[in-house]
Amino acid sequence: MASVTFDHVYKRFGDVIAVNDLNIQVADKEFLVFVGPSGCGKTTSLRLLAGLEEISDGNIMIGDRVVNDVPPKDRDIAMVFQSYALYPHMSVYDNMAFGLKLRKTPKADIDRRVKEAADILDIGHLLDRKPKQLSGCQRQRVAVGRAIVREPAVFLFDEPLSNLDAKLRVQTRAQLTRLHQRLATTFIYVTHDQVEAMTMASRIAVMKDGLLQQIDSPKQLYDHPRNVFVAGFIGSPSMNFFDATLVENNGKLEVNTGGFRLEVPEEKAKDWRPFKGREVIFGIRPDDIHAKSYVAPGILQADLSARVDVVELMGNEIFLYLMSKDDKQFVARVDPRVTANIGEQVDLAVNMANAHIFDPKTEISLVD
Amino acid sequence: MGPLRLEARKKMNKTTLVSPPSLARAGKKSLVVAKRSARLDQWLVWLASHLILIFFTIVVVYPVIWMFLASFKSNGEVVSNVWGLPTTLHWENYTSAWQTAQLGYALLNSVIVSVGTVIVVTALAAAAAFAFAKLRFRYATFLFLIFIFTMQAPVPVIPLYVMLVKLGLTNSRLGLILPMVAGGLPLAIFIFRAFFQSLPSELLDAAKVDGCTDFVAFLRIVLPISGPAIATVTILQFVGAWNEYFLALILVRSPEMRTIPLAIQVFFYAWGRTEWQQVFAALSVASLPMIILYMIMQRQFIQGLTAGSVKG
Repeated sequence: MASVTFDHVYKRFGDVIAVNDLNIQVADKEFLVFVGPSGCGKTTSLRLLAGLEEISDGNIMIGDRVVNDVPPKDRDIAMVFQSYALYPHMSVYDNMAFGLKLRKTPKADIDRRVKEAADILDIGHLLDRKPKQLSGCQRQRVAVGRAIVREPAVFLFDEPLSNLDAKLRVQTRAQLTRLHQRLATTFIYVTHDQVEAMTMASRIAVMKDGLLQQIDSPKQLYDHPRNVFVAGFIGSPSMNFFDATLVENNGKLEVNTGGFRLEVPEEKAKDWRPFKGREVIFGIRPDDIHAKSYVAPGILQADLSARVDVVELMGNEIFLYLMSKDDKQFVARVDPRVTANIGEQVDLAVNMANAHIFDPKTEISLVD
Repeated sequence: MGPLRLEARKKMNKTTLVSPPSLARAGKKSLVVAKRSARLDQWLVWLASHLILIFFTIVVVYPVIWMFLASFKSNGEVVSNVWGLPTTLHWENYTSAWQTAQLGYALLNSVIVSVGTVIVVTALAAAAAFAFAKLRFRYATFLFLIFIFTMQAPVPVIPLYVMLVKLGLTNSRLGLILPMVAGGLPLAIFIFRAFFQSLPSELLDAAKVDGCTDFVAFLRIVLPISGPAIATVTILQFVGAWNEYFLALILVRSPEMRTIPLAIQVFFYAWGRTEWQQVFAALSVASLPMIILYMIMQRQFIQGLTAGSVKG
C-alpha cells in the first residue's frame, strides 16, 4: 500500500516527447486509470513508474521514496501486461511462484500465497497446466495471480483486457473492481477504452500527445470536461460539437450554429452571458438530445428540429443520426419507443443544463 | 438423408422447368466438366510435387544407402558390382577399418572437438545475440554488422597457424576447437538474434518486474524457450566441426590426435591400392552420429530455421 507521485516527469525518445511535464498524485488505495488514444503517453507513463523506462527529467515517488534509479524489482510493484507475458515453459504454479522464488521467500510461504491467489481468481484447478493449455481468459487471470502473490504496494495494469472478447471483458472488469476492493491496494491501470476507465476508476487521467488533459473522478470528467478533447473522448457516442455564436434576442441568450438556434435557459445564461457575441464551440452529448415525445421531466429544454439520416436501434435505446439545416451531422440517443423514419423531420428537446461551450482557439471550456 | 435429397431433386426440377431445357442441360454439363478438370488439376499438382520430392529424396538419400551397401562388399565387388546388393555381408570390413584408421581415437577426438565447439559456440553466441536483440546499448547495430561481415571474410591460414604455434596449441584438441568457435560464432549469433527478436519484449519486462537481472532473465526465461534456435545452431556447428578437415590437416601431427576426416585419409596412402570397402565402412561409422543427431533434433531444427519469418 502506497501513494504514487509523478513530479514534473518528462520522457523523451530522441526528439519525440512521449511524456510532457506529468504531475499526478495518486492516493493510497486509489484506482487511477490512464486513458487516451494510442501514442498519448499513457503506457510510457506506466512503464516509467514500473522502471522499465528511464525518466528523462523529474521525479517519480512510490510512498515517500524517490524511485528514479531503483530497478523494477525493488520498487515494490507488480505488473499485468497486455499479452499477459506468462513464461511459456513454466506451469501456472511456477509462473506465479517465480517472483517469490527469486526473492528467496520460504517455500511454505510461497505455497500459501499461490494457493490463496488461485482461490481468489478461481484458478486452483489449473496450477499444473502450462500457459498454452489455457484459454485467453484463464491466462489473464494467471497474469493477475502472478501480480497478487507478490503482495506489492502498487499494482500496474497495461491494457489487461484488450485481448479478451467483448463479453469476457465486461465480466473481468467487474472482477477487477472487486479485486481492488478486496486487496485495498493502489491500482494504476492503462487503457484506451473509455468505458473501462469510466466503470472502474476512482479517478481518470486523460492524456493526449504526452500531455495530461484532465484528471478527475469519472462523473466530474463526464459532466465537466476541461476541453474539447476530453469532452469528445469520454462518452460514447461522442459529444456533438458545433461552431456557434452566442447572441442576444429579445433579452434572451441564444446559441446560433447557423443551422439552428437554441434558447439558453436563464440558469445557464447567467454563466454564459459574459461571452455574448463571441464565437464558441457548442457541445452537447447525444444523451442530452431527446425526442420531443419522450422527454424526461425537469430538464431545461430548448427546442430543435432536424432531419433523420440514419436510425440505429440498440434495443434499449435508439441512436438517431441527424442532419441540421446547414447539413451538419449530429447524434441523439433517444427513447426506444420513438418512431423515426429516414428522411423525416423530427422534433427534439435539448437539455441545455448539460450543454458546454469551449473557446474555439484554445478548445478549453469557457465555463467552470 | 432420403427426404432431404428428394426435396433437393424437386427444387432442381423446378429450376429446369423455369429455364429453357436445352440451356439448363448445357449449364449442368459445363459444371460437371469444370468440376472434373479442377479435380484433374489438383491431382496433377499432387503428382508433380511428389515426383519432384521423390527425385530430390533419391538424390540426397541414395549416396548414403549406396555407401552402406558398399561397406559390406569385398574390394573387388565394389568395383565390379557397383549398383547391386552385396553378395555376402563382409562384416570384417568394419573391424579392419576400425583398426587401420584407429577409429576409436578418431571418434573420441571428433566427439570431443565437435561437442566442445558446439557448447562454446552456443553459450557465447546465445549471450551475444541476446545482447544484440534485447539490450539497448551504443553501437549495437555496428558491432553486430562487424560480426556478420566476418562471415564473409577469408580465414588467413598462415597467421592463424603461427599464432597457434606460439600459443603451443598445435596438435591439441583445444587448438582445433578455438578456431572453429571463432569461425562458427557469426552465423550462430545471426540465428540466435533472429530468434530472440521474435520473442515478445513483454516477457522480459515481466521477468524484470518479477526480480530478474538481464542475465538471470536470459538464463531462466530466454534460454529454456530457445530450443529451436539451440537445435539449429547445434546441428549446423556439429556438422561443420565433425567434417572439418583442413584445420586438422595442418594442426594435427600425432595419430592419436586425429579426427575422423584425417583418420579416413589414412586409407589413401597406407597401401598402394585403396581398400574402398574399408573406406566406406569407416565413412558409415563416421556418419552415424550425425544422422542420429539430426533425427533427434530435426523438428526443432526446422522451427529454428523459420523463426521470425512467421509471426505467432
